[in-house]
Amino acid sequence: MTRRLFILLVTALASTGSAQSPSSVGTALPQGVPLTTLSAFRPTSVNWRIVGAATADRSRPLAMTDEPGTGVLVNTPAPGATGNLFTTWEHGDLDLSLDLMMPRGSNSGLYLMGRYEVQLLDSWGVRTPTFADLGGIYQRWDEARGAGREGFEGTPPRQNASRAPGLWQHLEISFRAPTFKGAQKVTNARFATVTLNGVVVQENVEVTGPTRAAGFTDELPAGPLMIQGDHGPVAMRNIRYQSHAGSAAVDSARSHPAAPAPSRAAPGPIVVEPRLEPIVLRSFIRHRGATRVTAVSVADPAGAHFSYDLAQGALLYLWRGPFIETTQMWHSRGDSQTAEPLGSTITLPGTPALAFLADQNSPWPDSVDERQFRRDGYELDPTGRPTFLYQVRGVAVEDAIRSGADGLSVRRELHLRAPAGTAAPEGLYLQVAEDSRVTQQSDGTFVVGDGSYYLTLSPAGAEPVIRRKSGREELLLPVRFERGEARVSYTIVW
Amino acid sequence: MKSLATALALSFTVAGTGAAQRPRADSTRVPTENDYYRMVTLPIPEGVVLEVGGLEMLPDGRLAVATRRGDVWLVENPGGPIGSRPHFTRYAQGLHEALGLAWRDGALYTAQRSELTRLRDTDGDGKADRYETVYSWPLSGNYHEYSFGPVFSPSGDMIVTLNLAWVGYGDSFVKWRGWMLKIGPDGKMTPVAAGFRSPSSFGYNLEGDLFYAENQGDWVGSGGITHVESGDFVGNPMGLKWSGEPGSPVKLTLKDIPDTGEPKYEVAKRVPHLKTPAVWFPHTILGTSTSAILVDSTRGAFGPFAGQLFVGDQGQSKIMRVFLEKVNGVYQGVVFPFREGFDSGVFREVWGSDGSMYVGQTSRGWPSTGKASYALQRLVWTGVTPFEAHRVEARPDGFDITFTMPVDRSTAADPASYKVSSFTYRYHHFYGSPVINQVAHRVRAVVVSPDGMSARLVVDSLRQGYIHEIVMSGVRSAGGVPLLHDLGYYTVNQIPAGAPLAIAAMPAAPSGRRLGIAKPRRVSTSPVAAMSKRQTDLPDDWNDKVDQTVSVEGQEGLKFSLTNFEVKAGSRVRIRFANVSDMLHNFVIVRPGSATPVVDAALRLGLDGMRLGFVPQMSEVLYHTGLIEPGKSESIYFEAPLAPGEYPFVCSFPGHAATMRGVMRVRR
Repeated sequence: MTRRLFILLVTALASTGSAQSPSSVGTALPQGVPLTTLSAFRPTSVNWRIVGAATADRSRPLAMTDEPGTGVLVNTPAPGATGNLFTTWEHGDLDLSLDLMMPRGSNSGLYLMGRYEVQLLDSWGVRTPTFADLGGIYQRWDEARGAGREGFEGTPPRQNASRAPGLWQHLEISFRAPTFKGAQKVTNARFATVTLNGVVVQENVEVTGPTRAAGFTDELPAGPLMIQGDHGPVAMRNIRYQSHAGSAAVDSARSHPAAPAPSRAAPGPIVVEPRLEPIVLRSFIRHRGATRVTAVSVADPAGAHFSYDLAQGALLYLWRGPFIETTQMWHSRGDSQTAEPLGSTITLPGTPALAFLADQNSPWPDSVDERQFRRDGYELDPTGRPTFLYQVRGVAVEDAIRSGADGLSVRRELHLRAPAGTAAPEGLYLQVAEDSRVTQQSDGTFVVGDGSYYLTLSPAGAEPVIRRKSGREELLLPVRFERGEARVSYTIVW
Repeated sequence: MKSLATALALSFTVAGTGAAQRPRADSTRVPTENDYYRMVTLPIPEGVVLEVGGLEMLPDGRLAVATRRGDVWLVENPGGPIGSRPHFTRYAQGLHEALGLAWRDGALYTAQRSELTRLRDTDGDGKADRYETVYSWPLSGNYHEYSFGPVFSPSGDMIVTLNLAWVGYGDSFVKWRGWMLKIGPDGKMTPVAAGFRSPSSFGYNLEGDLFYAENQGDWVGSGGITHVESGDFVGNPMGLKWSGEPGSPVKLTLKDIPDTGEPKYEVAKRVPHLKTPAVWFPHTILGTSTSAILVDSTRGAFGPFAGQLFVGDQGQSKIMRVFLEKVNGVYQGVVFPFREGFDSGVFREVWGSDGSMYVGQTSRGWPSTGKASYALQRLVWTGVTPFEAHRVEARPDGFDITFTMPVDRSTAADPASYKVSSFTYRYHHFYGSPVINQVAHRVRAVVVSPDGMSARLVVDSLRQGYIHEIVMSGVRSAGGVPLLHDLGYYTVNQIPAGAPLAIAAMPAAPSGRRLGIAKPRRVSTSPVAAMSKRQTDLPDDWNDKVDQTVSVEGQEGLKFSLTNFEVKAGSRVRIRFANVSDMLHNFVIVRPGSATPVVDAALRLGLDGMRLGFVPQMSEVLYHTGLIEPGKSESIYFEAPLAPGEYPFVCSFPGHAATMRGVMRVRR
């Protein structure tokens, strides 16, 4: 379990683009909160438990089930059991990272020092997030301000980087405690960064005092971390931190020696966003440590974007929200020629979608056999959405990847035609998924990775093959031709 | 008409119906290029970043423009009358740095970084809906792996060229980088020639022979245009890694290419298939980065230069004019200045249906004399013929210069009206080359033709393989006008056979006289001004003590790593200047307020520029490095001025100082 978690974490970190906070990339925080018992927390009500696994049905409000074991902290509030959870330790400046799962429609919150809240909410599908959405700095509250004006401050996340309910999400917070001279506050508490699913959603946001519904109303140099328990169910795991509790915490930003002023201003970012029509944009793309020189990224105004490697017929990334930054391609000579997705990306294997296998145990190829592959480009449908065209061993492939109308999913349909006058091709497979795990739920939906995304096959009657090898799992679909043609498709929801 | 022209004090010859705009008959005004070739700037819609990578004129009069950001725009009414606006429609988007455009049978073709693409509009909405890969090639991922083209050959094949990568030197990491390829309509690829470095442009002359433009760099002493035929090796050896591949018409390998620094022409005598330029363009004088090639197929609609080539230059925002002839079956010819002052870096040229020239421009990452980051301009002949040297042809014992209008016989027949010298460049792995082996040639006699249209120069001993600078500053037209451009550079690849011109009682010709240079020297060690201005060793009397060291880099994109620094008056300063870019740079500190005169003087050094490291010998120059090659560095030592103030520093290499400049503050 621990190893799998680690792989997931590393994958999540490796998959993020430039949007990730540089301060936390790739460096696990030194201290872990043991989740074998609740000993790291002050006594509280029975809604807080340690379990082995948690799952949430994305279609049922507030539904979450769990299995016995250790490693996962869950809150399942019930009448009379709605206590908040406080750590036994206190902190000042704090770097914190954790995985969290929001059941559908659920609501919770992380209160730094028991006072300053990062909102936790199922914000899946919200187009324009507010301070009350996942990753928001929640409002403060003061009755004395008068009816209708009690709420003040609060900062929305820069974008909605949320995943679907029931998926594991990754949150990183770099927090700076208020500082005092005697009893006098000198500087406000400040969120240096809040990074949700790999993208920075808050940066350098000050809070002038405790958030609404905080555990304490005063401000002090140290306090316990608090997780809100009275609103809705939530699961967390892999909680790690680096604290500077009680010490005269030094603000890294304030204590850094003055950096030499750059002699020339850095270029303002060049950003591409779709308006009414899709955008199909060629560039290099960094993917799993390598540069893809034949990448194309497609922005869909409906909301879901993707990157694809034309030379492999391979999906590279899926994401929602802002589309892409092209500064490294379009500023000056464009030294790296890369475009960088601006949203929270789902990283896909980047291996060819289709391959002929000698038998069902043959390993999936990392790349296409160039002697048998020919890329033919793409055609745009009347709405401007591309269908990629290529041939593999003479089989003509049309690969259509489309955003769902709500932007919450992507459907991929491949239409294959065998060369005229030949027998139906044998041994051709579609690789639908490859990850640490591929688990089928009771409703037929697959969960890929350790809760990374959902996947459904269509038609539902397709008979997939799940292969397990060296700690990885792979979902394949044999391609069956009828009268020289075959259609295979699947949908990814995240 | 003739009498009117004669009546004009400046004696312009007016062509056409008389409706064409004419310069004012103002006897006090010296005519300029604009009097003959007017520049019209096309308005570009707000938000359209028209960094031109490709230009093509469609049969219906629309102008197609491919951009470095990957769009293809169709411009309706591009040459409409003043007051009517061109209309821009986006035809295609999202291509990866499209650096060429060609129309054929209802489709547009362009080279992206990794492929040749055909764009088609199948539903008639004016926008491409098919982006078809015609042929693809590998990339290593280096930014410098530009892909150019296509140009359609007379037989209907598509020609593309593939740049080398740049990693401190040009290299070919994947197949066919540094090559010209030919791709048939069926997608079948045939390698054509190897040895290309940065072959941004190529085109056919009226005879159907293919020429390509190369930029100064490693193995390229200076820019120029070269006649390319199948099996040629045009100079940079890195692409020869792939000469053993099936289908390669080039059999040379890397080890066949000597790196001796001899002139390329000399090396080519020993290395079969090594092709030398048909016409060299002296670096910094006629360009720094040759770009577009366009043959004058307007049959006179663009003026008197039908059949000649107009070759653009990105770095100097200008266009040169080339006359080619074939001697002993080998192309050679002369290059003249033609038109300067474009808004941005000239990159592509195409003819409009009215015989005007559209000029597409970009300077992103490669700064140009014209400061706009992109532009689309049109060059329109005013109908007035400039007084120009129309062409220069080689003769066994000199040159025959033909003018665009009759000359004044007395000035044109005077040998003192001309100056001829010859020189060449080194062929080696270093970036660029100094001017070497420069020799002055005596003009022994000049015979003006009976019609006054040409002058036959008898010149001491033409040098085969050399570039001959011909300055004609004394020549006047019959109407007394000086030449619009009074110099040209003729590359003598072959000396025509035949009898020399009989000249009565000419004094015996002394052999060629060396100019200035005792022996050729490497660029980076050229001795320039007094050592006190370029002290590269720690002075002995400093006793190993330096008060302050300042490190400066010359960076890509024509930048210094810092724009100001401070020193104490009279202190002992070391400047460590490292060139981390891919061009030549120096670092020159000048007296307060004198950056502009020093930069201007450096530009005027002409052929002497490389030898002097582009540091003019003048008192305004205080301290300087040599001209530093990419990847090299040099430290200079000096005692800071005693007078506090702001002392500018620049790179005085022509065209660089606009962005490569800063201030050394001397404080008390």
